Amino acid sequence: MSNHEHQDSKHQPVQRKEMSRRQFLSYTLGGTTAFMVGGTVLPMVRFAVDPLLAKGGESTLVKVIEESKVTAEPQEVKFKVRQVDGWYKSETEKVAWISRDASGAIFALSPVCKHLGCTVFWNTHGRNEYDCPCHDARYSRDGKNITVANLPLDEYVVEIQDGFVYLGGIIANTRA
Amino acid sequence: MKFSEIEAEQWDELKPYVDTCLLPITGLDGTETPSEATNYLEQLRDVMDLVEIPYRGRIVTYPAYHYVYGNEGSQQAIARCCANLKSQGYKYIILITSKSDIMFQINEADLWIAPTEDGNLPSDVEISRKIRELWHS
Ligand code: FES
Repeated sequence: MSNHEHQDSKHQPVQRKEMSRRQFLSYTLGGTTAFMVGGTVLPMVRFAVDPLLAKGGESTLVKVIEESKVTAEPQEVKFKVRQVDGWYKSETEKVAWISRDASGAIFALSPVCKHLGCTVFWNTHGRNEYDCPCHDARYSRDGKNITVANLPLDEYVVEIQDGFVYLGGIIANTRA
Repeated sequence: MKFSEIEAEQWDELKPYVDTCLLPITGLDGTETPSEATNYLEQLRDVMDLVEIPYRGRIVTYPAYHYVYGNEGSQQAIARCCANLKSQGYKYIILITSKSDIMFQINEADLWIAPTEDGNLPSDVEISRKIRELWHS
């Protein structure tokens, strides 16, 4: 324990320095705090500040919807994930499009366009595809890239427990 | 994406895709206490998130214009900045603020995203509708 405390206090000056830099950038940028994850210093600080949080991360599963409500038609679900960026803990909202395939299996796609990262939306042009508003990338129901983007939409890890769908971290598309 | 996320050597390749510039107008005038200034910045960040996250592949955010004193001087300065941004190739300029009292006419800009008259920030649906309309105009 004393060792742990010692470690924390040793890292404090680094935290303060980083924080003031962050604030400076944040003010310069118009109040944007989620900006510039530090290069070499932050990973160490992150561990020193809160090792338990560092373990949580992407692999935490979040309950998002009842299994019985998922149909073949993709539905948008929003959920919160706790993130740690240096000393700064925040909740980020994530979005997934969730549906069943022909065999009834549930899968969830990330709406982040693989071209340049805009957010795609299901069926905005009535083609039963995912459409990107930025440069018109299109993706199939399974997330397969049809135009513009070179890669399919990512998927979330899906787990079903006690009649609920849980989503975890992002993985490369397994369907397209 | 933020201006600072773009490396110099990437820009030529990205430029054809990034045709829209987001210019935040914080609207401070120096009368704010530190915590009030922080609040304004946080509010601005919240509304900026609604533009920057869904449209990050086509919109680049420039550093904020923080202080505004009366409408006229600031109007001219912002108009000039917008004109310069356009002359370097941006097709659309979006001005964004979380303060309801600084939305003045800037002919060089294409869209203002600002609170409604009763002070409520626009919804994500409303912002998306406006941006998509702008791109299809
Ligand atoms: S970011 Fe989606 S098409 Fe370019």
